[in-house]
Amino acid sequence: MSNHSENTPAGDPLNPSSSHRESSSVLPPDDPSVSANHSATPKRMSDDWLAILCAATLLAVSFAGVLIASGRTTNDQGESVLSAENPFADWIAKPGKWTESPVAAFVSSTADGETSWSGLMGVVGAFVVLSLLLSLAIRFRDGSDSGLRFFKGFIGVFLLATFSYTLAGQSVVKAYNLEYALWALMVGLIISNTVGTPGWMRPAVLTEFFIKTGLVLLGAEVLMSRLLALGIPGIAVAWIVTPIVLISTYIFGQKILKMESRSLNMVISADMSVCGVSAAIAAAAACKAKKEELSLAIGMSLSFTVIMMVLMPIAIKAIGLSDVVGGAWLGGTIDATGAVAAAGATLGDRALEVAATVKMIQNILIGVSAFGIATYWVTFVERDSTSKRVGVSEIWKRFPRFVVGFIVASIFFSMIHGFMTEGPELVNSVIKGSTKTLRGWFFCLAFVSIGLETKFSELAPYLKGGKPLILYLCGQTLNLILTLVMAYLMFGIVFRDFVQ
Amino acid sequence: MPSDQTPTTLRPRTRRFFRWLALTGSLGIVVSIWCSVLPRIAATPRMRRQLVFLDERGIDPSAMFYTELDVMESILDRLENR
Repeated sequence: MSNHSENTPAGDPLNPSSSHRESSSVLPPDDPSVSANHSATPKRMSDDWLAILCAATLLAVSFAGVLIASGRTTNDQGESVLSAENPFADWIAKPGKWTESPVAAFVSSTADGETSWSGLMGVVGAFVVLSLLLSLAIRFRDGSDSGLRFFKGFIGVFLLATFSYTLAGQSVVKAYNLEYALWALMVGLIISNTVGTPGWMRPAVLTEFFIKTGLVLLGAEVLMSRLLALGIPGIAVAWIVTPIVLISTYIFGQKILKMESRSLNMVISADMSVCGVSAAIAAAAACKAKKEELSLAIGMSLSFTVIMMVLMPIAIKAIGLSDVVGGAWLGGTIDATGAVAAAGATLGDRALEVAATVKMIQNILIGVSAFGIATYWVTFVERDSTSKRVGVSEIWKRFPRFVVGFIVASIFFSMIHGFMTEGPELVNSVIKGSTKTLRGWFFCLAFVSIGLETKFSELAPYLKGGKPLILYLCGQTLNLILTLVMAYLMFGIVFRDFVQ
Repeated sequence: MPSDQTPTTLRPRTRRFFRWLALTGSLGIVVSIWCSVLPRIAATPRMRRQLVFLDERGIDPSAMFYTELDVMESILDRLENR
């Protein structure tokens, strides 16, 4: 995220205070000791490269751990098969699901009645890994005692993230798709708008850095080899309609609604058309959107997701669509992945399968979207108004490096998954055993940080006029119509026999 | 921390008191909703049925990405072995 005002010709009319901010997402520190960390010492490395370095370290260590810990066993047919194991799986976790008492998020009972502390140990393990890695990284980049200051602040930010995860783990909250991002934002906002963000915590309020590191880790989960899971019909719904909706909504916002902030326009278009919160995070980072814009887009997306996951299955039954077409429609339109599965399941197992798979194919579009948005931004939005064309070298100079890290991670793990014998077992073990959980922590830390940096008064200007809401509603209407037509055409007529 | 130099009719100590009061009140509301209201909603027969339905199918409706869905594993196994 950025507080730059380059997106709007006359600075940032929505946020007059932005011109007084630093380009970093960290608030201008009040405390001189903090100030020294941010202004006096030149940074040895940008946030992007540091994020790539941290994420690559986590991916490499995790992959190496899986390779070392995995062994070969003989199956019933006498064949030698790989038994992929992640040695870090039991040591890295997030607070679990609970219904009656939040203690159950950390401590559970095993089948034989014994108390298991694995949840708590996993959270402590995640803290140890992240605090050590990030403190060392900050120390390496900023020098001096910046690593120690970061560590002290990180304790506070991590505790708030743990509290947010615990709130998100309540089973009713989970059932309605109210993701941790929302609660992390809320927790941060409560602190910053009451007693204020403590000075000692601010060195660890690094929104941009957390988001970029999380996104590079997410790259490993974007497996291109799974693109053809549903064949051409899946591609048609997820990869033809989605870009059309994204681009149309963006143009509608610029030409018809005349939205002042291009980045807000883009983030809403991406989160509504691609796949909710994860796409919003990637788009916001790619187009350097402001933190308030990301918060607003996510708030809208989650609100409409709850409504759509309840109403769409009812509408599908009322219209009389088949489970397969209905599932494809759900998968292509509801923003959040979990909500798609929940809505699909209410129609039946076949609808669940198609809905979840279409959504998965759409999830994979995140990489292409982030790359496309970043390229468009540096080529057209950020270009000097006096120059006609931006050269390749200039595009490369401005191109956000973390997007490169994201794409490289995606290609690397896609190749292992697609071409290496037993690659799927190895990749799944790396992702499920550790990197997926760590990626979640990074995003949770990022949303806590956004909350800690935001005043309610800064959000208010974005709500005036209702343009973001109109944009979302119009874009989603187009999405619903186009996806229904394409789903019916592909799954109900052209490839009906193939799908059956 | 918010600056104590901001002109206001309240004295700094009073303002600090109200800020801490606001924090305590907000946290009190959050804790009471999560520890009292939501568990009661979860205990209603309809909600309990819904939660069991989702658990049995390995669906986490709050999943942000497909890798967070347990049900995806069995779906992909079926699709890849077809």
